[in-house]
Amino acid sequence: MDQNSNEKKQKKIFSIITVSLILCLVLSAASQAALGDRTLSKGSRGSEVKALQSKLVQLGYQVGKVDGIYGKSTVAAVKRFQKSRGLKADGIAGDKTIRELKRLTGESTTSSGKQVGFKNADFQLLARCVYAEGRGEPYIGQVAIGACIMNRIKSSSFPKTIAGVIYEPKAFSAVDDGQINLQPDETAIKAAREAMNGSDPTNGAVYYFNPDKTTNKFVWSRPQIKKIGKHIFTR
Amino acid sequence: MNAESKKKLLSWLSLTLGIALIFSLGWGYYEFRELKEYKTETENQYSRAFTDLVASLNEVETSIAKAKVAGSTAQRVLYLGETWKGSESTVSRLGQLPADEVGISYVDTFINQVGDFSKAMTRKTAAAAVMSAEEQATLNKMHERVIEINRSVQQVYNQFNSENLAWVDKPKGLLQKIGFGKSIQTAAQGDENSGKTNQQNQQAAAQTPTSVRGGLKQLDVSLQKYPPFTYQGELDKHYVDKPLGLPEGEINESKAVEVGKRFLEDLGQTGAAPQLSGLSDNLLGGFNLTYKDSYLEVSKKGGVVTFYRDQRELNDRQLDVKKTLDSAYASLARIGWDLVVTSSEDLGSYVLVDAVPRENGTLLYPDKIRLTIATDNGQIIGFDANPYYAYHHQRNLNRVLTLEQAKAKLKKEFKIIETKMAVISKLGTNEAFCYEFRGTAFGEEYMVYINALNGTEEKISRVVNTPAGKLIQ
Repeated sequence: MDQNSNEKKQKKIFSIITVSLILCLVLSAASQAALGDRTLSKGSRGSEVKALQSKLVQLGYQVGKVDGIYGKSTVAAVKRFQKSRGLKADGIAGDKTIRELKRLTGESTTSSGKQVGFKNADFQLLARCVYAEGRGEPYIGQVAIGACIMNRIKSSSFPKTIAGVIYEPKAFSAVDDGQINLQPDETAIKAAREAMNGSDPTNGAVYYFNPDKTTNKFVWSRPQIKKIGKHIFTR
Repeated sequence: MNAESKKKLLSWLSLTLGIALIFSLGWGYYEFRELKEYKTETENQYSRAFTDLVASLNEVETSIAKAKVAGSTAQRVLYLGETWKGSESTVSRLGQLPADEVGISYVDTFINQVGDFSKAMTRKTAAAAVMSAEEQATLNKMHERVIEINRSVQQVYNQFNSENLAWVDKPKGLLQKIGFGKSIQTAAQGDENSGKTNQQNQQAAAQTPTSVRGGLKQLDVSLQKYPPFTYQGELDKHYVDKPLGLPEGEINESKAVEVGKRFLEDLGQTGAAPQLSGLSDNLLGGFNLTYKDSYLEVSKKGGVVTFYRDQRELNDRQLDVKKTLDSAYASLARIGWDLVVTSSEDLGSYVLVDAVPRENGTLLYPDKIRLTIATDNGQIIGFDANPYYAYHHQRNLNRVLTLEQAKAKLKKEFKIIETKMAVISKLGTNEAFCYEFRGTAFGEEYMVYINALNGTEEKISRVVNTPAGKLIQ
């Protein structure tokens, strides 16, 4: 009786060791395949692709589901990333592309090298709003929309954060109809970045409207500054 | 077809229709339940925001009352600081409540001003300065108005709790539109959109609100009759009333085109022929010109280029940051600018740069110029001189403190790497002439600014290394 249970125990321990050994092997094999070891292209699969995708998403290039499959949308995202970074836009994640991607998605550090997190958290929302409200407009018109949002933060009549301004009810039609959730393109991302940096082609506008589509008396009554693309920008 | 088969067909038909009816009823009920759930969820969020609003507004009121009477610097800074943060949270809650249209909210504006003013006063008091009699009076006046708003909002809140008040006034229903049913004249319909006179607005304000938003709008109307506050703060400085740096004289259209042409050619677009594409109504602009993918603005007063953007497609990168900046310096010299780059952000196909002019070696930060430089050929593709022309003026740059005296003001852990003289912008349009110390402490890099006239520690910036370059926070 006693011996029997001892044998059982031994068996149990043995099986636990075997399972954990196998697990260790599998895990180490998986972790060895790090992003940058090989060139990734359409059809590639695995954890490296997953890492690539999440880095793209972090920079604002949407790939749909982060599933570790290098599909059509990942190719498109890589191409857009390459285009905006001044790299050859071939949709293949080679050494250069991956290095640039890694550099840009690195955490910010203090002068002694301590990591202090990412510094572009609300930037993506601004880019989405610029895209939803201003796609089809010239680049400068998209910067102007971003600048308008930044001006609202500095104005006394609006909330004091990017999310506060954008999600204020009835503030932007693209928020109300859900277009805010579309993926911004490279132009909108660039325009949002410039606006966030302080560039303001509107000279201090806080409202804008499309004169062909707007009958709202309030915005028409505001002092107009200039027209950029289809939008009139007002104080 | 005989009677039998007719009957059979009929019963089949009614059975199918019956099933379809039951199915659609079930589906409708399911959708109804689902919708109700979503609605409840959203309205709960609104209720939460509204309740938080009432609570934080009440805190603001209490904090101002205490700040008014605080005798010591420490207490005053504490309560002014609480007022400032409380106002910010109030405005953020206000922005979460549902609205039915765009417009200016005077409640928002007022609370923002309370926040802005108390922020300015917190800083002033913390710098060991005393609030002037005028500022004290402003604080008292603000308090009175906050009490009024606080009471009105609480009234709407009570009504909301007891009468289950709607969030926004519903637009007229179909029946009311064609003449049936009683149409309720709400305050919401009496705001500036319908072009009513102020008097009528105030009449509307006397009615009891029919929705939360309606109640806030009535409050808006009652606030409109007050004169605005005047004080030195940070808000509403997103444009300047009087640009200081524009040259004298006015130019006409043909001169503007000429200025634009020379600017484009100097930046490498040989044979440029810009055309007038519009006029802008602001002091820093005047003539909007376009040429190919380029857009630029030439000021009517002084005839200078205040804004330029080349929107061309960028090609593959050829230059690193250093070469890009070298090329930019060369282009700047061609268009007559002598600037120092104070920060740059490498974004791959282009580099974003802040550059400032110098006067006797002193960096003039308020007069900065923003540049975008392409990394495919080193051309300047973006140029924004609006801050320069808004703020540039002759300054009195005589220091009182010696370098040693200024250094003595620094924390002893701070190790200096570099020392410069600089003019920095302060609250509103104020400036300070400072010693700029770049150095490290506690493993981090900082920039510390010590006023060269009175030794006040004016500003601390933290330098963070981001993937794209150094970020000054």
